[in-house]
Amino acid sequence: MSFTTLDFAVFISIVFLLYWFLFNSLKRQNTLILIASYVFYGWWDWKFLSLIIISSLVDYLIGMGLGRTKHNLKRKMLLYSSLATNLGILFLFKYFDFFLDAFKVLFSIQSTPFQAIDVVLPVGISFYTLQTLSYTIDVYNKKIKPHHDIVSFFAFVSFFPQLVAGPIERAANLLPQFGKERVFSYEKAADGMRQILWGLFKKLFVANHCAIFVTEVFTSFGDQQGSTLFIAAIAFTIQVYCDFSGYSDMAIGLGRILGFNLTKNFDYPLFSRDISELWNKWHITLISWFRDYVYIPLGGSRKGKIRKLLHILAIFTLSGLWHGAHLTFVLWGVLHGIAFLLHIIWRERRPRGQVARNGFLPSCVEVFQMIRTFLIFAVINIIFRIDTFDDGLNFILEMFSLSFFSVPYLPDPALGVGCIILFSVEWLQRNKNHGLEMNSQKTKGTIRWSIYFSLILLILFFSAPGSQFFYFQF
Amino acid sequence: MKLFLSKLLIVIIPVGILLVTMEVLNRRNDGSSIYIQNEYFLENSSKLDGLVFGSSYMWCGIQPQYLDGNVASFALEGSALNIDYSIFTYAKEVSRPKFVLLDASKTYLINYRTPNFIKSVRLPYYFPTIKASELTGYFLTEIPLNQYFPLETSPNYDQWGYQPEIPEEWNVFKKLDYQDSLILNHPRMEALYTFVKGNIRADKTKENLDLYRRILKECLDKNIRIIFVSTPKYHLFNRYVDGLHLDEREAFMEEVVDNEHVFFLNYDTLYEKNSQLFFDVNHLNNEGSIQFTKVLNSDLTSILN
Repeated sequence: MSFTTLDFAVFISIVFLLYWFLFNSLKRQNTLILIASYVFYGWWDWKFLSLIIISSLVDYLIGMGLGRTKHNLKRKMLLYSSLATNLGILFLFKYFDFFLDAFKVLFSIQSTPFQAIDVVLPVGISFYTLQTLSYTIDVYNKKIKPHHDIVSFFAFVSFFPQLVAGPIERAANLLPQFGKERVFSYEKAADGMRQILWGLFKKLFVANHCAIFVTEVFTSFGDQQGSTLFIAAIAFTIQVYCDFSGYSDMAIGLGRILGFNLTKNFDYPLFSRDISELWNKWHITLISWFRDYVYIPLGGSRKGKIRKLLHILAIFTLSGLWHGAHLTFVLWGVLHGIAFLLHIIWRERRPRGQVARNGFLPSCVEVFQMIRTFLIFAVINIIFRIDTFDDGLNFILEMFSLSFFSVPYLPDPALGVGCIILFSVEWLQRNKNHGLEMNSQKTKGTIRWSIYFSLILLILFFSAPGSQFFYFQF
Repeated sequence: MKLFLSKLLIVIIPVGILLVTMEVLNRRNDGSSIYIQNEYFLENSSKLDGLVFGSSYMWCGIQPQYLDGNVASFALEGSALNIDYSIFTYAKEVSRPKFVLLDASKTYLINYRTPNFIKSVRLPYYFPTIKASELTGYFLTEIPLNQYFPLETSPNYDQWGYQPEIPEEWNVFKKLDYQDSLILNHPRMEALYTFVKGNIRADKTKENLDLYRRILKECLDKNIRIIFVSTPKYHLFNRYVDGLHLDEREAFMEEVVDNEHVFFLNYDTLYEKNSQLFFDVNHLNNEGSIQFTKVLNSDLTSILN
C-alpha cells in the first residue's frame, strides 16, 4: 500500500479514527499500530510478513538475553546471532544472486553448487533490517536497556509510516515513544497534515514530472543532445530528492498525526555549499547509521588520516551496496566517497551555519558553492540511474561533448513550475523542519488556506501520472 | 480533535465532491470505441445476426454497416484472444447471433493482454465477464484531472464504433506517399517488426489456440456458425510474417474447418499490392475497409445461405 493511493487514504482514515477514539489506552494503541502495520505491509505481499516477524522475534529475544547476561563471550555470541540472522536474511533476499554472479565472473566459472534464487526483493527489507539491528547493537553497547513489552517492540520494528522507506529510526528515539502516553495535539496533527501535503506535492507533482522526462531521456540517451542529457541529469537528482524526501515528509507527518516524533531525514540538501554539508543533510538517518555502527567501530578518525579516509570510502561503498545489489550502485557509492575524500583533502574554509544566514539572499560565493555542489552530486547520480558502467560513461561523455551547446529538448513546462515552487518554498523555509511549517498564530488563516488549496489543486489537476516511489526498490 | 476534524473536512468535502463529479462525468462521456460498440450491441441484442471479434485488424477492416443483416462489432484496437474470449462469453449470454466473425490473422495468435490493457480500455465497466479484480484501480478518474478537459465525447465513430477518419499520425502510408521504398525504411516498420518478433511465445500461442477451441465449442453448442477471417495485409507485412514461419494457424484451420459450421476466409493477400487501401502495413484505411467489407459480405452471403 503506497501513501499516494486511495487504498491508503481509506486505511489511514480508519486507523486514525480507531486510534484516537476507540483504542484510547497505550496498550491498545500499540496493538492497533502493530496490526495496522502488518496490514499495511501485507497489502504488498503477506508472505514477506514472516521475515519482519522473524527479525522482530530474534532481536526481541536477543535483547532480553543481552539484558540477562553479563558474560562477555555470551553477549558477543548473542550479538553475532542477531547480525547473522538479520544480515543473513538481507543477504539471501537482496545480495545472494549478485554475489553468485560476481563469484562466477571473478573465477571464470560457468556453474557453482548454488543456483540463483531469483526472488522478489521484499519491500523495505533494507530499512527495517538496519532499524532492528540498531536496537540490538545499542543494547549490546549498553546505550539502551532491553525492551520487555513484546507488542511495542514489534510495533517499533514494523511502524507503518516509516516501515518501507524510512526514516531509519533508532531504538533510542522511537522505542521510548511507544511507552509514553500519547495525547492528541491539534498543533502537532495540523503540522503533520501540512508536512504530508508538502510531501505529496513533492512526490506527485515534481518527482513524477521529473520521472517522465528522465525516463524518456535516459532510455534513449544515445539519441539525445548533450544539453538535453545535462537537463535530464539535473532532473533526475531533483526527482530522487522529491521522491524520497517527499516520502519522508509523509512518513514524519503521519507519525505526528499519531503522536510520534520521527527523525528528520532531509535538511534541504540541495542548498548545500559543499559535499560534506550535503551528506550531513541527505538521507540523514542512513548516513548517521553508517557513521555510528560502521565508521566509528572501525576506528573513525582516531587511527590516523589515511585510515580515516579509508573508513570514509568504506562507508560510502557500503552505502552504495545498501541501495542495491548492482555494480552501478557500488560505483555510485565509491564515486561519492571519492568526491567526499577530495573535498576533505583540499578542504577550503568550511561554511558555517545555515546558508544566507545574514540575509534573505545568498552571497555570490554561496551561489557558486551551491551550484558546484549540486552539479557534482547530479553528475555522479547519473550512475545511479543508468544500467551499466559503460552506459554511464557514454552518457557523461555525450553530455559534455560539443552538443552540450545545442538547443535542448525541454521537459513539460509543468516541471519548470514545480521546480520554481519547490526551490522558492524550500529556500524560504530552509530554517524550518519542513516546507510548510508555519505558525498558525503568525500566519493569517486566509494565506494558509490559500496555500493549502493551491497545492491541492495543483496536485489534483496538474501532477503527473504516478510512478512507484523510487526507494521502494531498495 | 473536533477542530482538527472539522478543518480536515473543509478540505476533504470539496475534494471529494470534485472527484465524484469527475467520475460521473467521465463515465457519461466515455469516448472509447468499446463504449459505443457496447451501446449498439445492447440496443440491438435481440435482433443481431452476427458478432465481430478481434484486434485492430478487424476493427479497421470490417465496417458492419456494409454487411447484410444486423452485425455488432467488438473488434478492439490492441485486443487479444484472452480479451475477446471474455467479451464473447458475455455477448453470447445477452444475444443469439447466427454467426461470429473471429480474427484469424497470423500475428493475432501471438497477442496476449495484461490487466494494464484491460484497465486502459475500461473493459470491466462494460463486460461483467471481465473481472473487476483485474483492474488496478476502481475508478475511471485518476489524477491529474486536467487530462479530462475539455470534456468531449469521442472521435467521430459511427454507431458501430468504427472510426472512418483516423488520426493523421496513424496514416503512415499517406505521409510516405504510398511508396514502398519509403515505407520499407520508415522507423515504424522496424519498430513493428521488433514488436511482432519480440511477442512470439510458444506458450501464448498454445493458450490462444485453446481459446479458439473453447470459442468454437461454445459456438457449436449454441448452433452459431463461426467464420475465421484474416483481413487483408500489405505485401511488406505478409512477406515479413512468412519469414517468421508461424504455421500454427494453418494447422489449426485444417483441423477444425468443415465448411458447414466452421469456415476460414483468408484475405491476407487480397489487396497486398494496393497501397492506396492501407494506412499502414497491416491495417486497411476507410476506402480499403469499405471495399473489403463488401467482398466479405458477398462471401458471407454465399456461405451462410
